[in-house]
Amino acid sequence: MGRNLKMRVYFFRPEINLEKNRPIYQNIAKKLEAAGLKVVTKEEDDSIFGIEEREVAKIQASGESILNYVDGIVMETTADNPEIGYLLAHAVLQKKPTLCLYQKGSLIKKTLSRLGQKIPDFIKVMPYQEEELDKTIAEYIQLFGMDPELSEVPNIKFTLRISKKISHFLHWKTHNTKKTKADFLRELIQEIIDKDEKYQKYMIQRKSK
Amino acid sequence: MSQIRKKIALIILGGTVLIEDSPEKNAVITSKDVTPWLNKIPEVNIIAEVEPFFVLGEKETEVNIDHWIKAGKIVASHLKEFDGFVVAHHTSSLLYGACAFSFMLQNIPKPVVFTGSQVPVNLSQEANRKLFKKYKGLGIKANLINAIQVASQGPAEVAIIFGNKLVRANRAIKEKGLNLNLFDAPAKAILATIDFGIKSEGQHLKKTVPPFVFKPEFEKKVSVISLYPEENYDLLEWIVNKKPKGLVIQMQQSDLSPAQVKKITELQKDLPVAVHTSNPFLKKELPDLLIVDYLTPEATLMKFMWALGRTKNIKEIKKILEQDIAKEIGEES
Repeated sequence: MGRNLKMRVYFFRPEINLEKNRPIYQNIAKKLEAAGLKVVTKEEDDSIFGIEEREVAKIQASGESILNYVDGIVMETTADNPEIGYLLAHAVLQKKPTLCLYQKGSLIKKTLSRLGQKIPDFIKVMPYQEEELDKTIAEYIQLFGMDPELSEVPNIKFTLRISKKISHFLHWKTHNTKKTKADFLRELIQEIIDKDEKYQKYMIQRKSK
Repeated sequence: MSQIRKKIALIILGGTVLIEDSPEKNAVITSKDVTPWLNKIPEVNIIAEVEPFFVLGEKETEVNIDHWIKAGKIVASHLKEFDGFVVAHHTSSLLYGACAFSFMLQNIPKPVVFTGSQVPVNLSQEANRKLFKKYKGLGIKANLINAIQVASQGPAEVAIIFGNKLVRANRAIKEKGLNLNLFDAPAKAILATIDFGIKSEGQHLKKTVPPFVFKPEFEKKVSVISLYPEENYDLLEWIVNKKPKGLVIQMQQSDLSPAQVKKITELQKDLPVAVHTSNPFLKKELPDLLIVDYLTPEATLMKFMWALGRTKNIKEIKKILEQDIAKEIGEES
């Protein structure tokens, strides 16, 4: 499924007072786009804006949630809404960078406290005002690259000198397969990471600090 | 504006295997495992207050009608306390259980949502890892989050949710193999789909008007046999000699031969016999037989068992089978 390399964020706007708040939401979406994100929204007629219709149909036919195909979530959470809890539950499950924006008197922190643990660091809960919105979004977009442990995108170039013997093995191992030598090595390292209990414990400790 | 926090009852009948780590550590085997298992899914607490009810664990005996009745009693006796009910169930017999629920819990005014894990408890680490890769570790957890959301606000009826589809339980069809959308249904029985939220079809959200009634009487001694064109009645005789209280014949052919009609006519003198077929013309051709062409095979069996639990009179049974009890008879039929 080919897609634009921009990070996709689903922007949830509650239907309550939609007309009144439309300019505010438009402004948030504009600033998210300006920050380099691709904004995806669900319109009043249930159509999805920001993902091609063909891709939406393909995702739906596969049985997956479209949420699996966005990189982050931005929510306006001032008013309590059953959709917010649902989106947050999936955000926590999928560890998606999430920005919960609110004006005054939001219950969002109380909702998040029901996780029974401290708010995960990939969720940002921030009040917003026009003059602070740029700063808030700038903080949010750091989440996509701030914690390398959350990112599985192989975008760090790494030069490695290897022996002829290893090179020969890598060629033999990947010859006539769809895998590249780099894929093979990445998967091997990922397996080692997954099996390394000490490292997993270290990461848990690190995240809880 | 603060909404009151929803309360959801989670009834456990298996189907609890998570695919994150070793499946052994991530399933409800006994009632003692319920709390640690739920602690691994803290996400559900964001949506609602979830109270678990343990009926059956993994590795225990196969789910049967007694477990479904026990689970049905939990729903009936706690109906006022909860906003909705979620049933975690083994996928192998989930369809039968969900159909049984739809007939027992008539005019249920709250949502009852069946879901579960497609992963068996005794799966090897390697196979588990492969599944984790394919389903991105979201299996039961995502299903449970969706089920709890539906139970909090969805249609007041018994439904099944897997993947991104909510379907009416007694009209559902199970897909073959591993499939995120494990259950499908005719278009009119698809109650909601999931995109960024639960997209319910408006007409399904209407609250039921008739009063709720709990009717958990099922005749357990009912046999099922598949009938093929070959007229070999040895197996049929063997089953009849076991003295069942009812017999469902699943037709694997479009028509019955004269000899088969004669045999079934003989049988039904002493035994209620329902003939399940997909041939819509057979009922008119054979008005003396109890032909069921308007239900799924699973709904036919459970409704037949339920009807036999109410009466042994064949005319009454026929009447019950033809009556739409829980929206199981499609409008198109």
